[in-house]
Amino acid sequence: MPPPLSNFLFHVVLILKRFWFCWVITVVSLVVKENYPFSNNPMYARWEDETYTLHTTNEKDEILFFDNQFGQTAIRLKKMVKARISRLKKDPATKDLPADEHYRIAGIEALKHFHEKRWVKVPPAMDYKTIKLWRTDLKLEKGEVSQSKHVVAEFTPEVKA
Amino acid sequence: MNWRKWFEVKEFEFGTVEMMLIRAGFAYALWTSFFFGIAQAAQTMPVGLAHFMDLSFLQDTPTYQALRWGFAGALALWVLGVATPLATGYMLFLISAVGSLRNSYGNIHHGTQVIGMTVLGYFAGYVWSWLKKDESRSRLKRFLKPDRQDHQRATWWAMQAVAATYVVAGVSKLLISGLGWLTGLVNLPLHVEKIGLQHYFGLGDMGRYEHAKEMAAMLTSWPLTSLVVVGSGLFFELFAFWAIYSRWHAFAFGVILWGMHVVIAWLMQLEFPMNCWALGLLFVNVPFLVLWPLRRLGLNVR
Repeated sequence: MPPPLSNFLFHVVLILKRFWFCWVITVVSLVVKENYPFSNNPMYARWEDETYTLHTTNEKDEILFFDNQFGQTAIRLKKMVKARISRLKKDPATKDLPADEHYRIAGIEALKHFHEKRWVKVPPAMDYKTIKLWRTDLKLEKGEVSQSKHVVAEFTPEVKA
Repeated sequence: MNWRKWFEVKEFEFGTVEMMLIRAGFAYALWTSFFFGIAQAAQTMPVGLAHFMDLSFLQDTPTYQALRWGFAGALALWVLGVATPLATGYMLFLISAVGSLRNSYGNIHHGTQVIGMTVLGYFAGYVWSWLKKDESRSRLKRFLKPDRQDHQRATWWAMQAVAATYVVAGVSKLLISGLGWLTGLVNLPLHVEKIGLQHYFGLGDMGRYEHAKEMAAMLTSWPLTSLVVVGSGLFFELFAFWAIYSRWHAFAFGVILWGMHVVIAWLMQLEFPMNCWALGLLFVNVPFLVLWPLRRLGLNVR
C-alpha cells in the first residue's frame, strides 16, 4: 500500500527544515551563477552534435603545445576565447559583426594575454614570431567523428627594441 | 526489505577526534592543491570578489607569500579548534580572492569550487555558534575555543554545502537542456574525443588523444553505456541531498559520487581531485572508518 500523502508532506517539510543551509546554498548558487566560490556548475550541461577545439601554431604552422608553451591548458584557451565572443555578441558596438570577426577579435585578445603572461613550463619553448589560432571543428556523422580546421586569428607581438 | 529505512533522517553525531581528522585532511588538501596558477591571472572579466576590489596585490610575490603563510597559520588554528571564526573567515577570504582572480579573465574553471563551498559551510557554522544566544559560555570563550557542538554544527553545514554543489550541477543541467540532456548523451563520444584532442594540443601527449579515441569508439559501439553510466550521474547529482539523511546515506552517496568522478576521469579525462577529497572526508568519512575499528578494539578515540 502506498504511504499516505500526509507522510510524504511531513517528510518534505522535515528535509526542507533540517537541510535549510543546503537549500540556501543551492538557491544562491543558481542565482549568482559564476561568482567564485559560488557557481551554478553549468559544465557539460549540453551535448551538441558538433563542437570544436582551439590550438596554436607558429608562423610555420608548427604546433605550440599550449600548456608547455604558455603554462595554461588548451581547455582554458577555448574558455577564454568563448567568454570574449559572448561579450562581443552582447556589446551593441560589436554584436552585429560577422562571426569570423568575433573570433578574430576574441582570439587576438586571448593570444595577447597569453603571450604577455606566458610562463614557460618546459624550456626551451618553441620560438614564434606570430601565433596563429586554429579552430578544429568536430562533427559526429554516422558514428564517426569528422574534423576540419582553419585559422581564426593571428597575433604578431611587437618586437621590443 | 523495509524501504522506509531509505528515507529515515538521522542526526549526525561526530566525534571530536573524527572532526579534527576531517579538518586535518582538508587542511592538507588545501595547502598542497589550492595555491597554483595565479601569475597569469587578470581582472578583465571579473567574477566574485573581483567585482568589488582590485585583487592585483595577490600577484605581488612577497605579499602573496605572506598571505599564504597567514593561511598556513589559519589552517593550524582551525585544525586545533582555536579561534575558528577568525581562522575560517581568513581562509574563506583568501580562497575567494585567489579563486576570483584566477577566474576573472574569462577562464572559469570549477576544480576548486567545492573546497570554497566547504570552507564557507565551516565558516557559517562557526559564526552561527559564536553569535547565537548561549548563557552557559561567554562569546569570547565560544570564539576562542569552540566546543564539540560548535564543531559539529560547522561540520554538518560543510556537508550540506558539499551536497548543494552537486544538487546545483544537476539542476543546471535540467535548466539548460531539460531531459534532452539524457537523449543528447548519444553525442558523448564527440565530446570525449574533443577533450582528448585538447589534451594533445595542451601537452603534446598523443597518448591522451589515443585514449580518448578508444573511449569514443567504445561509447559509439555501446551507446547504452553512456546513458547508464553517465546518465545515472544526473540522478545522483540531483538527489545528492539524500546523502545527508544519515551516516549510511552519506557513505553510500560518497562512494557512488566518488565512483562517478573516477569513471569521468577514465572516460573523459576530466579530473576533480578536490571533489574527491570533499567526498572522501565528509561523505565516505575516511576518518570515521579509521577510528571505528580502533573503538571496537576498546581504544577510547572518538
